[in-house]
Amino acid sequence: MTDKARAYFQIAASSGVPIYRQLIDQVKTHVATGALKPGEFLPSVRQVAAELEVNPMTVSKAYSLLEKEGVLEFARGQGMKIREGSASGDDLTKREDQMVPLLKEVVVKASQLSLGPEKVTRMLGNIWKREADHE
Amino acid sequence: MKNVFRHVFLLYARYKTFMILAGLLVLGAVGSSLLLRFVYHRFSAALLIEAREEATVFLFIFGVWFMMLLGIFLKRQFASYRAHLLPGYRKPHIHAAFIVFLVSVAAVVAWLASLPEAVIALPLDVVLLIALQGIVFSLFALYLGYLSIEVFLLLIYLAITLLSMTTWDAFGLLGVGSRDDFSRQLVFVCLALVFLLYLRRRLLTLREEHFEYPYLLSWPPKELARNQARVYDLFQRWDGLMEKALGRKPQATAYPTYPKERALLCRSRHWDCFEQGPMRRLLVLLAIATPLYVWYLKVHPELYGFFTGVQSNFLILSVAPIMSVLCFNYKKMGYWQRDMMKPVRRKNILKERGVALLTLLAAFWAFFTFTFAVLPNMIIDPVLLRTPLFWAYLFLTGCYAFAIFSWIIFLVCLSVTKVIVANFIGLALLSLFQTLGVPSFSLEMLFVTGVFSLAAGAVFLKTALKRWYEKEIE
Amino acid sequence: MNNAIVIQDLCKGFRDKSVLKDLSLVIPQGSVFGLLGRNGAGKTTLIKCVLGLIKPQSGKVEVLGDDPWDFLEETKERIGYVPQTDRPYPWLTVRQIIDYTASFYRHWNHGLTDRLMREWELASSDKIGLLSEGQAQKLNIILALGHEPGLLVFDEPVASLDPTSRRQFLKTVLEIVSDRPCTIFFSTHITSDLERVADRVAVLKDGRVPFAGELDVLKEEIKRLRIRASGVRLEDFKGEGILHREVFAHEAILAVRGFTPEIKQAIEQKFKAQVDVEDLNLEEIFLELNR
Repeated sequence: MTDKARAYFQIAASSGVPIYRQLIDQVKTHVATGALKPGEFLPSVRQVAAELEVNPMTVSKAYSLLEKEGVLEFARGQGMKIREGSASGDDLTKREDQMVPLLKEVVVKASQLSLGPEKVTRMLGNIWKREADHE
Repeated sequence: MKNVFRHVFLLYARYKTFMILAGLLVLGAVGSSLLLRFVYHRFSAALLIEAREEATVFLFIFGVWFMMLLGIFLKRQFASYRAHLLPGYRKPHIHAAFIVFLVSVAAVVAWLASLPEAVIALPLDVVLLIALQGIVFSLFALYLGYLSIEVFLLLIYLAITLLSMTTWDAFGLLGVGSRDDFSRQLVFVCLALVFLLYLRRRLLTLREEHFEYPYLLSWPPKELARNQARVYDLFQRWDGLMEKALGRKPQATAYPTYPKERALLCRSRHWDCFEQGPMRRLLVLLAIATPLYVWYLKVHPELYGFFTGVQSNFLILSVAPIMSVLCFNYKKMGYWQRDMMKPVRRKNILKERGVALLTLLAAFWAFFTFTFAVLPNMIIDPVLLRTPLFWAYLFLTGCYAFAIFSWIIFLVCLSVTKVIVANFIGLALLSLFQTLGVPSFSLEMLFVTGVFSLAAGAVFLKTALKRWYEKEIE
Repeated sequence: MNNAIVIQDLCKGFRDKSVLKDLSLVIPQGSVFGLLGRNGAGKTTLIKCVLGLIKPQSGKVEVLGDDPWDFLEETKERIGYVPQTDRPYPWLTVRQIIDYTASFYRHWNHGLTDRLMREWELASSDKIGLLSEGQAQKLNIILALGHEPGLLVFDEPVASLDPTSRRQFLKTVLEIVSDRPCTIFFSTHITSDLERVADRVAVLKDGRVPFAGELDVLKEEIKRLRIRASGVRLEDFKGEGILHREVFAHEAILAVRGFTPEIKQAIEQKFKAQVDVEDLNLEEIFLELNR
């Protein structure tokens, strides 16, 4: 699918994380959650760069690194597509990796507010229950 | 290449001020030529000479303005990054300016050639040489005028006054025009050519760090102020050297406080307090120069003729003070906005600045009158000093200076360029016709005209004050 | 050659002040290169030396293989420059100055300039003298883009533009970069613009360029470490890679360059500390580098 690059990517240009890294992480997340299925085509470098208003070389760098890592595959004349067989096996580890930064933030914040691990875990359980009830 | 040329000429064509001035010159030349032929056939020879002098002065003054504009325009085209970064930029601009210059020379020659023979007894080739040298002299003054606007206007003014001594014969004083002295002609022509080639070379390689680069007249006034500040820097350095030579410490940079409670005159002086130091130093220099001047007058009494011509009097005693005041205050235009924000009521600011300008005008008038009217006569013809006619005449020049100055202040607050230009031309013509009649005035007439000028000036000032109060300062 | 601009040991000063001291920098072809520096650091001086508008006191500059002091006409056709402020003849209209500038170049893309005029809301008949500062700046940018140069040099191009106009400008720059091989060199102190658009960055400080390289690498290399341990002293942290250090009662904050995960582990072990690594965006990097 080659419309709306913004539907797939959301970047914060002024973040401490380089843009290409944000793009890579987002592609990996989408693959892990199944939002991007194997065989699906990503928008072209040009389109992504134009819509997100970033340097095409940054997007190109992200795509080639993903290709090297084996997440993407280049199809002649059609662009980049998700490689078959990339969303399986080490699915869990990949998904866990996505959560780690967020959890780290929770830990840091909790220690700043002097809330111990038991307290926070309890709070987390309550919120989870509430969210589950809503759904 | 041809395309580039067309565009450079279009630059000139679209520059309204330039085209208006060029148009004025053409009209003036054609008009004066016809007028002189008319006068020649109907009126006396004396009137003819007078008319010729008027026409020449008029054309010379406007010609110099035209050359000034050409020079400024040329500078503007070159003091820019475009001169270095746009391919094939420099040559077309230089050549276009040169063509405009040649066309003006041709126009002057055509004008001189069209005058009736009784008016000029000079053959055409000498006329051509005079025209060429006169115009190159203007260009040369322009180049030196790179130094600053004041110096430039001063040079032009000197040129005008020198040449207006007895306009035609003054060319002879410059060593120009006499057919018998071919070698002198040749020297001048060679100098002119050398200068032109040097100017061309300089423009072809002009860079940001060359000394001429920043001394560019540019609009709006804030750019002007910035560049003139670089020039002023140079004078500051001389100032500093002079201070050291006199053994004095550099002037403290703290401003005196604004004298809020005191009289208008005191308050008005405050606006110029930054310039009072340099003014004092200038007075010191003048004081030193006066004995030399007196000696020179004693040795060359023929200069006396210079001081009795009506045009020269008009120029020195009425126009020179005005130009001096304008020069001193030109830079301040860049700071109008900031000055308006100071904690003083607007009406008071206007009044105080006005008074400051007028006191400066009076000071300059007094200076010029003393140096060029009273002092020479004290040395050469002391009897004249006892005649009331002499003093009445000086009185008239003072009143006239006041009137013209007020008119200028009034003009500046009109924002429509065409009205300003029309006013200015009217003023110039009026002044010239005035000078025709003045030598024959009686004592009463001089006095009455003076008072009338004062009244006219006062009216202009009052109207100007009201208009300035309403004017948007940009 | 694969370098658009090569600067070697450039020295430039005015009167008694030396602005650029033995500055060396290389700008590869095809890169979007941002020059960061505080006000008065010498960005404009550097750019003017690179373009041959002022003469360096010593050192060598080469632009597109040519000597900037004496550019060949062909080289001039391939360079576009937008100065910080410039207002050409105020009595001309926008259309007239564009035509005038176009006449000097063998190639001019009128379609591009017309489109940009439309997008940036500049009317053909607007008089230059009456344009606002932002509009005048936009006009300068159009005048530099019209002949589609291979090297674009901007000196604080967006200083007088509002955020919408800045974004439009960045978009245009990115379009150019996508369309054809082009090197863009611009100086700015708006770091967020650079982060979007630049792939290489150099920081100008004290007349030199202590940091130059790919922006992504800079972000990965320069980090802030919060070290929570007791009994740490300032002297414990020294070394070349440390940009800045502060020690409080139970905490030390370090800004380091050349960060690797091993460094974190080493510190954790040495001081029995808890180390948090903060990612820094370009603005924060710039602040750290300029402390």
